[in-house]
Amino acid sequence: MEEILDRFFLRILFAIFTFVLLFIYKYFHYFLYPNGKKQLKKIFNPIANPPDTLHFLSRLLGIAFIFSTLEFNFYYSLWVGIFHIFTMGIITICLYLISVYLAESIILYKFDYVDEILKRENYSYSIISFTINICIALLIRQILSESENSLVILSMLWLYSIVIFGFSTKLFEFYSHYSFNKQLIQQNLGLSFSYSGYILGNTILISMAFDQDHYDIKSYSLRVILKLLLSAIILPLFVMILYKIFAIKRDKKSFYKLLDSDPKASIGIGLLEGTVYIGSALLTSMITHKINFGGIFPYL
Amino acid sequence: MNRILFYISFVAIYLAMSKSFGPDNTGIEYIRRAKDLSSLIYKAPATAILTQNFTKGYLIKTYYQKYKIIYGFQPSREVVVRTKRSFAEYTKKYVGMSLFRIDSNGSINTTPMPPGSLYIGNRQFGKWTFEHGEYSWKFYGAYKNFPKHFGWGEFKPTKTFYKAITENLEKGLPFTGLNHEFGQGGEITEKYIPSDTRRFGIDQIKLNTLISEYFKTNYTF
Repeated sequence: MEEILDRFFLRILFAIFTFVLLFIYKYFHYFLYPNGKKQLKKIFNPIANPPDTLHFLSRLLGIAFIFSTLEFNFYYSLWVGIFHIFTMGIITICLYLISVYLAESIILYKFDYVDEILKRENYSYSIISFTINICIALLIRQILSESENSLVILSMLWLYSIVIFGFSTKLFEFYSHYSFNKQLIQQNLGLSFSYSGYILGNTILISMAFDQDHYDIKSYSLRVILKLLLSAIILPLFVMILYKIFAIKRDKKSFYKLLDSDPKASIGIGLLEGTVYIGSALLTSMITHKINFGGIFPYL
Repeated sequence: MNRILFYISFVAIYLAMSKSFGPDNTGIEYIRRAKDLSSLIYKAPATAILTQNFTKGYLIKTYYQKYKIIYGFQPSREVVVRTKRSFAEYTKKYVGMSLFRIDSNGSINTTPMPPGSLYIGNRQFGKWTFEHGEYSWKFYGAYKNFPKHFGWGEFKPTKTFYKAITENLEKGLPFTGLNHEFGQGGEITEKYIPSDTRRFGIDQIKLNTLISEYFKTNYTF
């Protein structure tokens, strides 16, 4: 019974410790994003501004995703375990917030949180921001598990993943018929669905590319690039085949003229593009990562 | 059209990068003929015995060979090389035999011969002893493990055997033993280099065997 109680109280203790980390996260967020002062310093009213609610909750969801990968280890002692989790917690909070800042600077460089969310209540902006936060969280989660508690590997992989993610976001125009900046100003919901699907699909592929054995960093980095190149070759085939197999109407001449004029049609096209992209990315990840060649091909 | 060109160039980049940086074939030498094995042999005298032929790949096959290199004055080692199909097919019948020999003077011979033929008759490594009414080759104590490396088992080369080796070398003809003891189907090779290590590719499984085994393994309570 003593042992059971001991473990139970330790769990409660670590839950309290996680609350402390979340509290730290809140103030780190405030320092890095002074614009979000309203969200974090005052009592948050979720019904006052729904896009702001979505934006706010996505940050919570993101950090929850990341914290869920942290492990409490008592191999040496309780204090070593606490020190480790505290250090890793602070590092991941910093990485997450810096990554979100960088990603938003790359993707939403023409837009401002105060203007788009607080003043204009731009749903499209908040949905894209929501997806960015989740995608960054998924990436950080992956590199945390790959780094195996090595700060050197973590920092290298973080930098590497952010560069790849940033680069991939700039290729949206090759996939979609939406004009990102123009339609985001117009608060086009279709664009937000299409873009969300696009970056979520990319995140799946990037995360999977990082999910490999690593013995030396040079060979690992090259294999990540090779996996991504392979994904970039397979993915368009799946996109094309999904449209063909499920006979999805896509009359390029008349269809995409509706993006600006018909909001309902635009939502439909956005949902279509986003969903097809995520589906294709998942199927691509199956081809690029889930085929075990056994001893026939040693590595790839 | 631009998209197709872009896609094709992407595939080309991927293949080129895989070829250049892929860990698949790094460190594995490519040989076109037996003479190319000289690049893998550092010291003379030495002999390279083909111990295994195998392929990788399902649709497009890559051919590999495993050689045991036995040096006169160095520890022996095993190497795996990549080769072309025609050479792999040609050498299939010479598994367990020496495909490359370099003597102390540096002269190379690539006629398929029984393993250890390079060292038989060389007084640096052994001597002829008279046993059971005929002369047979015996290695000195320092080289007593040579017969094991060659996969000879109980086999003892006789003077007749040595003479046949010399004659065939002069004519440039492959020699598989007086009673075809070496190479594919040879009694000694079959015994000391088991056939499962010499299989050429993946074993073919019949469809009905596959289905019955699959259900037996996965769905039997």
